[in-house]
Amino acid sequence: MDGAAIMWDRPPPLKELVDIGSLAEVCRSFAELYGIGVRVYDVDGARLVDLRMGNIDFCGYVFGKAKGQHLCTATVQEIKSSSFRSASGDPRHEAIVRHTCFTGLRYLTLPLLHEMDLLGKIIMGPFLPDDLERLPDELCSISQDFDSEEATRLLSGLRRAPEETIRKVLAQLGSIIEVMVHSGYKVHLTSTMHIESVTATHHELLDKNQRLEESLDKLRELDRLKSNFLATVSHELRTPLTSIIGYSEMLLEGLVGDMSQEQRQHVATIMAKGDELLQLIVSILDISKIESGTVSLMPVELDLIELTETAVSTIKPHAQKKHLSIRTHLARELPVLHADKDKVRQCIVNLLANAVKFTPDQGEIEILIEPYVGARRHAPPASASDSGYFLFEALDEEFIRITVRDNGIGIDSKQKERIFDTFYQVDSSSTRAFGGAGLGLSIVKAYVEAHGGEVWVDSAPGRGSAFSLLFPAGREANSKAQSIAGSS
Amino acid sequence: MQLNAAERELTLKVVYYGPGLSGKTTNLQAIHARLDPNVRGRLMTLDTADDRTLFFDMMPVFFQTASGLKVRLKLFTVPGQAMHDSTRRLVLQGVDAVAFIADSQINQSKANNAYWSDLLKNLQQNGISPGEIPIVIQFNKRDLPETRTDEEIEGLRLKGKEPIFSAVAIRGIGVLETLHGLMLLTFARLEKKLDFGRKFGVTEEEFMRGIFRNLDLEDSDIEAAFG
Ligand SMILES: Nc1nc2c(ncn2[C@@H]2O[C@H](COP(=O)(O)OP(=O)(O)OP(=O)(O)O)[C@@H](O)[C@H]2O)c(=O)[nH]1
Ligand SMILES: [Mg+2]
Repeated sequence: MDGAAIMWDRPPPLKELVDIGSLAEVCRSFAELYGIGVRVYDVDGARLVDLRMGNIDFCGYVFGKAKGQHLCTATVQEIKSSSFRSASGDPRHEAIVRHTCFTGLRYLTLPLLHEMDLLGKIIMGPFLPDDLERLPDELCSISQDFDSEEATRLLSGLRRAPEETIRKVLAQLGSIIEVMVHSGYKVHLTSTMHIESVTATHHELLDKNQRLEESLDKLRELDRLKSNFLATVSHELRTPLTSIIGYSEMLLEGLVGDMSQEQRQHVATIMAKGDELLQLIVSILDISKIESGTVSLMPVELDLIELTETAVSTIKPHAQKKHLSIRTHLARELPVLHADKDKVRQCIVNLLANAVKFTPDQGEIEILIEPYVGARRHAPPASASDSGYFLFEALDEEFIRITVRDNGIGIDSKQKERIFDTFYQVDSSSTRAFGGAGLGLSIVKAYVEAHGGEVWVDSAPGRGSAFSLLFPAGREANSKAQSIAGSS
Repeated sequence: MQLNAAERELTLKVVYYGPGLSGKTTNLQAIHARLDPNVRGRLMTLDTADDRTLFFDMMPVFFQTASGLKVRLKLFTVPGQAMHDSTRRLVLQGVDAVAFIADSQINQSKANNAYWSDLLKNLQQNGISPGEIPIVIQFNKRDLPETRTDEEIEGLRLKGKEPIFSAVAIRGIGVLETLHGLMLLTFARLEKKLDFGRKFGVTEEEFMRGIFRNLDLEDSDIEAAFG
């Protein structure tokens, strides 16, 4: 049975309900005020409080006689074991019970009840009832040498009072203890309830976490399937597409006979659109490789001049159509960059393609390549044992920074966070206006991060955009990207 | 329910259940105010500063039937705030009878429904089948405007199997009638389950009188029955 079920049951034992120290203090204040001893027993007869007042000398004297000892023990036993259970068995109907000792002294006992349950009893005494005129014969005859003068003298240490008064005092003490019990019970219930509900909530959370984890696993599996599917489909699409492009090329080159001007134009369009489609498929393949974590880097020492030129030449035809200028600035002194040539080139191409797409006719595009020393913007989670980073402050590092800047439509701050997400478009209408599937930037981000670098964009609506790539300078990048996670 | 046959002692647990602020605590307070202090313990409320019940309220009532059966009735309320669902379930453990306190205000209909199914769910989770336990429904706050009409409540009464009572708990109206209805069902249940009347020599009339003679029935519909 658990705790909560127990709490609907009987209350716990008296010593768990009230603080015994406080109980003793309350009893002491009564005992001292009225000069009468107080004892408290729990329902099993264990003594919780035992305060004696003024009877020690007298009782000691009586106890010194053999018969006195015998009678005294019997009296104590009677008081201790007296039951409050009446014939009806209902302790509520029992009030205070009187016990008279053979010495004529008196004790009063009061049941301690809580919600009809007997928790224990309070005993007040002994006291000298004021209606006791003289020592009882039974006392005087306990031994030959009983000295009634001495006994009477010792009795003066005891409180003499009418029983009615002591009854009231005891009732008063009883109701104070009853209040203590009630508060104790309330605290007991509150804390039991608290623990129970926390436990229940904890179990519910565990359950929910379990279910969440299961569905997360399912989602991960689906995600993996999706990446696989993308890879397979893209691959299957690429094969026929290369044939379409190849045959168009053959037609254009007149390898199978001449064509009219109009026919040539149509075939050229087929080829151009085929190329676009091919680029898209290649991007999807790249993304699916990134997402499945199967991209590997092959770092070499890069010739940045040559790399930039090839990148620009790839994009030039598109730029010329919109009469955009592309200028390249390379810093004279550049640190060595070890990186994967194809990947870095593709990053630049993607950024250029992006710039071309979002820059109006006659706009300007710039590529800047320069050394950069500074702290990372997104310091990797640092730990105390990390040598490269302080816990609270990133260290400056040396990078090569590649910036592609345009004076196009720009991006607002809300979207800056998300433009590197896979398939993200600033708004779905931009897909129609500018084409593209929103893959270019997420590929850039994944590639740069695989090199241990960073990407960010500085931009404002109407004020153009500047995409910056930081590649760590000099260092030999790992030949395998440990984890190029998708940026979605 | 705890039955100590040797001691002829019966303990019954009654829970006041319902949505937040429907008047569960107010019902208990109203009963408390009308009970003979000699037969009841303190009304223990475990609540927060704003008078919302935090864990539960509890009030014990003791009585003895003419044939000497000692009965303790422990009346509980649950906390109505949504976040205390696990506490509501805990309080329902071992329950013998439920008074569902609904809020008559129209905008509380959804909450009433939600807590009704919450009650059934929590009973089941405690291994109690809702069909087997005495349940009465009280539509409280009949004094407010924008409430379900008497006709609507009459309609519900005809539709459902649980007895329905109307109440203005804050003025004590309908509170004793609700408890009376619930105790009648409870006695019937004891009869069926334990052959109570024969075993303990307690009639329904005696059982009900045991409780209600200790209550101030003035102005209640059941006054005549115990007059
Ligand atoms: N007008 C009106 N107000 C009532 C009535 N009954 C209760 N109230 C009020 O409704 C409010 C909530 O009553 P409670 O008894 O504390 O409600 P509860 O169901 O115990 O609420 P929780 O403990 O939060 O679950 C209080 O302000 C009561 O005075 C009624 O019959 N009429
Ligand atoms: Mg309440």
